[in-house]
Amino acid sequence: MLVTCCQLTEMITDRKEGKLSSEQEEGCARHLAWCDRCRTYLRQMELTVDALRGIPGEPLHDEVRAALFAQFQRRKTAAD
Amino acid sequence: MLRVSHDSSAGAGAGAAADGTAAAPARRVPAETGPLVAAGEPGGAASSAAPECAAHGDDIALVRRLLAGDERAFEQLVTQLHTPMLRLARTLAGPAGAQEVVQETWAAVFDGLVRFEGRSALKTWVFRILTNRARTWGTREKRTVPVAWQEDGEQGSEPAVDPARFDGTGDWVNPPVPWTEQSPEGLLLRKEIGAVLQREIEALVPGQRAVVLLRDVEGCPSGEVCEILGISEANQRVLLHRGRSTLRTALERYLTRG
Repeated sequence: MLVTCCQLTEMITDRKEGKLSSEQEEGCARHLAWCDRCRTYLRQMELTVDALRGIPGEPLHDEVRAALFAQFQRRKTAAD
Repeated sequence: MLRVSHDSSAGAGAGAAADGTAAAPARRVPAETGPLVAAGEPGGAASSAAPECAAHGDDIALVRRLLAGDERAFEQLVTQLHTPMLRLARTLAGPAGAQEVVQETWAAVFDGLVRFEGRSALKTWVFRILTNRARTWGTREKRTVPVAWQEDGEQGSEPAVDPARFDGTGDWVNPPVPWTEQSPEGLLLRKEIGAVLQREIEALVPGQRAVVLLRDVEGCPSGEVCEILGISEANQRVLLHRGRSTLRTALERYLTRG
């Protein structure tokens, strides 16, 4: 299967999720072997996804933590 | 394929102590703390789309410690989950409802811990309760909580890359330029990148935002995300693809400008 650059940009997620047919998979692999621009695109998609995993979370404020703990204790006492 | 049943009523009732001292009035124990495992969970091992249903031993151990009143376990639970819960709640109920939804979710989680069986990750179990709480909140406040995931998914014609960047045969005319940063760590070392991503996630349509949050930010497996949001696997993939593509474009815009 012949895959264009434009088509490849639409197949990246399905490929990552293992949802391409073997024919599509082969077409993608062949395209990526010769197209450095699409390899750049693929790399940028991977970097984006990996960076998302590393987004720092907001710190949990002590007051919130304390309020939740109090709530937890009350619930627990009520249940016991 | 997998749908969470939103109307299962079994399991409600026990421990529904009205807790007037909580900041948000405690309501009756939600149904979702009952049979939380969606139908069809066992026996799906043959399909790659089957939900991850291995026993979550660490989570079961944590829940046991919680039930025994272990304060360190509580710390761990809250530290792990509160911020992710707020992020998801903001997506589902907006800034207006997020606090309330999270508060109610915690109440339901504390009441329901005793029924946690480890058939999905604790995080997934909590997120599912949160999704249901958000829908209940939406009904109560007469606001539309985006159950419109499907609608988002139907915007399937929205391309990953601006079509103007390709010629008539589908070849790049305006190809991506390699970024200087070649590792996610390198990217995130630039503190503003984290902020750019946060802002761009907020700007995604709700369905894409929820899926990207759960899959990429929280690292939930695909089957569990479908369960949490009550969407099909195919729908989830479309939303994920659109969301990720939009975020890449945003980073590209940021990293290659002037």
